[in-house]
Amino acid sequence: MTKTRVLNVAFTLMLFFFVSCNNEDFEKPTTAGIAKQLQDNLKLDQFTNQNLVVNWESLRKTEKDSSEIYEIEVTEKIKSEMTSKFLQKEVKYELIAVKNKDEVHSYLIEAFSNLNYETFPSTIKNLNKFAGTLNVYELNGTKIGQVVIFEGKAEDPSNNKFLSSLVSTINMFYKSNNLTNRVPACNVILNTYSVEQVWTGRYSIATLASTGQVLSIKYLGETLTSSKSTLLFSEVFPCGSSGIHEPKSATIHKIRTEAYEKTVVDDSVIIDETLEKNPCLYGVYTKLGGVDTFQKYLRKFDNKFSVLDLKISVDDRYGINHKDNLGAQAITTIPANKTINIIFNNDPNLASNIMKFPQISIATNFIHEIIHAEINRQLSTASTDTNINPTKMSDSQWKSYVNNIKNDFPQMFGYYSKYVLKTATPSDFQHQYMADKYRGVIKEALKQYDKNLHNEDYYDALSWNGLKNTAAWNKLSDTEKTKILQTIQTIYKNGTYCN
Amino acid sequence: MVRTVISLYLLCVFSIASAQQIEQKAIYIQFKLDKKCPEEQKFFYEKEKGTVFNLYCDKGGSFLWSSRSDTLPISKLKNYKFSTLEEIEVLEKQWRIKNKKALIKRYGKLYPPFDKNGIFKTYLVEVINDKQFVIYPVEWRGENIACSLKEVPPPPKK
Repeated sequence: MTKTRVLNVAFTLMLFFFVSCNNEDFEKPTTAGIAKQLQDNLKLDQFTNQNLVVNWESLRKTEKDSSEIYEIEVTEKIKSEMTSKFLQKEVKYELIAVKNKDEVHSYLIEAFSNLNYETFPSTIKNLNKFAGTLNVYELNGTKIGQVVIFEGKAEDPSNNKFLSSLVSTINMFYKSNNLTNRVPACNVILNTYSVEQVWTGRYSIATLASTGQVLSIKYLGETLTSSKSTLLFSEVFPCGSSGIHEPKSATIHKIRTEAYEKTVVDDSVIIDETLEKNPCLYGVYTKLGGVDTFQKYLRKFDNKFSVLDLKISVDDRYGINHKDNLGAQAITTIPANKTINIIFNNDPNLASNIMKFPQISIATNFIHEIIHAEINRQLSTASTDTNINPTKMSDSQWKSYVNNIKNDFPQMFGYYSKYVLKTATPSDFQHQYMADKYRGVIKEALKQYDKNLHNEDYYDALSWNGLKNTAAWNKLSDTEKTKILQTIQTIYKNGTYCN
Repeated sequence: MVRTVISLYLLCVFSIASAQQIEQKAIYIQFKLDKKCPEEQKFFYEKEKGTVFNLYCDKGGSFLWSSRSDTLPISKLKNYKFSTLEEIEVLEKQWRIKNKKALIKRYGKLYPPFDKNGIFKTYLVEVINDKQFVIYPVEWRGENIACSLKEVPPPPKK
């Protein structure tokens, strides 16, 4: 009995010993002070990638070799994916702080995992099955550099002193898989060269101006640059063995970087969820967000200066909800409840469905409608209460409205007067005005959108979209009209469609 | 004194007369559900906070009803003269011509382009059973559209 108890105690002590040894990195409760410091210093709004969110609850503390390592999970609000021949689709992020004595080094890392290896495991403590590259940032968004990791071993190809703390911390956890690790290791310094291949992925990110909410991230492509440099390598081999005799071949570091083309879309433009959920239309809208001319008009609806909002939506039941405009691909309303609505027809039962047109035509429609919205916005500034429907105005409101248009927008007033005020059969004046004054704007916006990939006739033909019942159109010769219509048919035939 | 009273009376009569010169015209349109129509012709539309009446299944004529209605005995139906959309187009032109002088007099050289909701007081009439019909005061929808972008669509894909 006594013997058994002694054995039990001995076994428990041994177990405790083993557990203690294996738990050098025993995890202790979170440290509020470090968390607070990180929260204060982290400026996510200054990062190029505005798509990140920190899960502060996930803070983990690890102690090893007199260092304290704090790791916090960072994720993307909208998950982005890489397209690469070398890297895995998933990009991971982590916030890391390393406390050594009184010094604290903190980093935000962006981890790219090589194919055929484990994905970055969201910790730097267990990277033995990981190979990849970490983009390392300061907490204010400044990029420090890159750390290359191969099966848990971290290297800093650039010898950046600001990365040394991170590199040595990662290497504290490095466990060589090589059997030679069991015998004392000898070092040799080799003078060799390294080829650095940098793949730069390019992304277009559209964000809202005030909240920074990411609307979309679009992968644009990647470019490869290579550079060769001579480096001193410390090579490890078992003492007593022959060491390294063969000339060392080039070490190739494949590094992944990213470049962002950032687009800020004004958020006084209300994007209805029906537009957000339509990848085709939303894609065109987002791409147009990067076009100066289009943005210029969107900005006019900035709440600071305009009392009107612009709402863009897509109606799948367009044929039922807008029976009076069955043949239209899109409509723009005059202001009601301080909102101008642009509604796109996505009714699958209608031939006029916008989705049945090529993408370049969709872009043209967006530009066309945004110009209507701008004309309506201008007219509303001439009104005492943003209403521009004379039917709903008092006599005095009407007189003031007409005088204000005359004074503030004399050029537009000429068209309003001719087509609306001086006739017993008023007709649409906005298209007349647009055909004369805005076709150049439409063409310019389309060229920017399309990166000027086509000739002048292409953009000119598109600019007549929706303007063929105007005096300007009627002034064209039959030959000119035919040429434009033929160009449109060619665009319809050869254009890129969403479906 | 008598002269002043007469002047005031005439002024009053003139004012009323001139105000009455620009009048909305009441029109009545009969609404019948098309049994062959696969789509809803009468439904509540949240965005416009009212009931939409689509007069036809395959063409325009859409109205919004958002206020009270009256239910009347079927015997009174014969008192109403119904207009078609084509007739209403003619009536609209006639109204503008008839009121041109009055409009210019009231608003100056440039007169306001009243839309159908300014020109007409429109009522939809729906027979709901063999004893009753309902009369709805409605507004024309689509009058607040600044742009209706219509292009001939590409031919369908083969």
